[in-house]
Amino acid sequence: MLKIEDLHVAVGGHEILKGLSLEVPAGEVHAVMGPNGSGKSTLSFTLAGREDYEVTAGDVTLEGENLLQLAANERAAKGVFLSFQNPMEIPGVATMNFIRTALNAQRKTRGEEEVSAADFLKLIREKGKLVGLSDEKLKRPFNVGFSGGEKKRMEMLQLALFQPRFVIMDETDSGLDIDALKMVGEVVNSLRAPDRGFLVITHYQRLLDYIKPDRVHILAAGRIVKSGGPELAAELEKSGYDQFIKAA
Amino acid sequence: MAKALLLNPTAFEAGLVAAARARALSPAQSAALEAFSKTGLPHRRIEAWKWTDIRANLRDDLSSASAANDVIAPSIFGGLGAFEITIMNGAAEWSGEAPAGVTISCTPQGGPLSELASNHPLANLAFLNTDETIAINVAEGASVEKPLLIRRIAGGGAIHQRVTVKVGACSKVTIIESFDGVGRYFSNSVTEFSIESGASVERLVLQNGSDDGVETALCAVAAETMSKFHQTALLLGARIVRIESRIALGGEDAQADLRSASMLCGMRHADVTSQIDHRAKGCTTRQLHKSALKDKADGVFQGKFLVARGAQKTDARMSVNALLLSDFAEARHKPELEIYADDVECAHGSTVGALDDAALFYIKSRGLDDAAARALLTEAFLGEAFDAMPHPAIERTFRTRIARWLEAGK
Repeated sequence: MLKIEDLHVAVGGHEILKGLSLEVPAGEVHAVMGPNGSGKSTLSFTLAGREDYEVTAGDVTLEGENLLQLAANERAAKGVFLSFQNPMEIPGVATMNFIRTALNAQRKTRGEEEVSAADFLKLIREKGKLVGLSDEKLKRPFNVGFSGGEKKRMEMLQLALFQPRFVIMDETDSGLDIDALKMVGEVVNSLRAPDRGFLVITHYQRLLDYIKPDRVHILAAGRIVKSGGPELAAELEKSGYDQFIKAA
Repeated sequence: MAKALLLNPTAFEAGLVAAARARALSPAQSAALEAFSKTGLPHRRIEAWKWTDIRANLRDDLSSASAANDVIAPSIFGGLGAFEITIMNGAAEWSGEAPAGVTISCTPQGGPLSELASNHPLANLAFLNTDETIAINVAEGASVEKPLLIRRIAGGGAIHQRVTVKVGACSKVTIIESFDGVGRYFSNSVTEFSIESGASVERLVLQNGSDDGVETALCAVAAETMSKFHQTALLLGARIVRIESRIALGGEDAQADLRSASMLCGMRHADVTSQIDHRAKGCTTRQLHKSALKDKADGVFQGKFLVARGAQKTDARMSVNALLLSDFAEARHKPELEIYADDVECAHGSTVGALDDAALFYIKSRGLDDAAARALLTEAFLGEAFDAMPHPAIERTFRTRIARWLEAGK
């Protein structure tokens, strides 16, 4: 499904990803774990299409289609969804209006009909309940005055609503309490499907207690230094990243 | 007859003086002509006009600029059911009866200028060139539901216009002033409010001139005890525009709330200048100005709060924020506080910046293209100036105008 080959990415003239290769087949959840500064967020931003992240070499394809030649909004329409580590607050933009505009923009790019206001209202209320965001929160400006946990719930709401094909979760577990972690696990597990892939980026094992990965990859110094089964996450929890940093 | 004292008057200034001399002037108008003859048009060497040089932009004689009355689109406020006074090239016209509690009349000169307007060079110019002043009188205790719309249309030449509004004690009125223009013109207007105790005025301004137009509009407000003056302005600019407010909060607990937004493109220039004098105890002022500047547009804000020695417990806050949407646009801000009382809360803040790349990326990652993402953030930025306006229909009109500008670029 998602295939990354020898990816090199520079940010502000500094090379951060240095030949990263990774493949996530459809229907699988892969975890990428790594220490601070290893390039995890660079990977997620690059996959989602941030323009100031310069791809100097390598390829990224989704179902055989070159992702790198698409703008961020086109990738979203193709079904790429990034759950941000630090979701933005957008003052002056009503939450429901923003999400409906986004949903309809994706649908329009795909040549699909727009969702009516009434259908959307029903849909967002249903997903709001699923992630624990009240109607009152949905009426506020987007993420304004939300706690870190509420912002992550808003990311999960969009994930549940957009139903993307490929999901990148950038440290979604950071700043979450146990109940919220459980909610994230429930949303992701409910969306697991044979035609959908997940790349779950995290520092810690704890999110993986709720989302069981099929494969775990260790990212250090800009490349994948080891891949293995779910047991690799448990091993990391015990031994830490030191050995991998040295090896990188 | 006053003697022209300017050493090197421009053709336009010489024309103004000659035209005024040819008219029958009252003693007050003769004094205004004398004052104008000494100063001429405001120019960049005068501190208050250093960023908006009227003289440099009005060198040529405009008398040959023809009026183009037939190309003005219907008013964007058409659906509000407002009582409309149209001022086409300086000539006022209205039909039907004014709303209950309001009288409207035209008087030849309308009495001398109010204190705040009398030392303003362009108010003097308007005064000495105005054949008729529109005098609006709101009766004491009247609560006027229907907004009054003063629609100014400039279609060529030099146009001077004066409106006075006397708002009786404990009354309430909404006045919309729109400024439209086509072709080459100089539109110079003065609106003077006298707001008696406990009265409340909502003034709304929508300005959209032409690329060749020069517009200046002074609003002078004398506000008495516990009165309220709320002003919301949206400017689309012209070649040169200056919307100026001079407000005196002369009675205790008077309130002023000024919100404005400029959205400018091309080579347009808009200057929002204000001075609010706090002269009595317990007065409150809130001021917010936003500007979104594209291309080579030029946005100016000058705001001054003056707090007199006896104006204790003044609570005044000013915030001005500019959004530069191009590398060539310019924003110039001059917030000022001049405080002579010792028990006040006054603050000002000014920012100039670009759209946040991180926010843009977030929005684009959700499916909006670059132009839509920029428009969304710009609309949100400007929209703060129009949050929770007392007339939802007017708020919608302003927001619609912003959306249209973002779509069409003008």
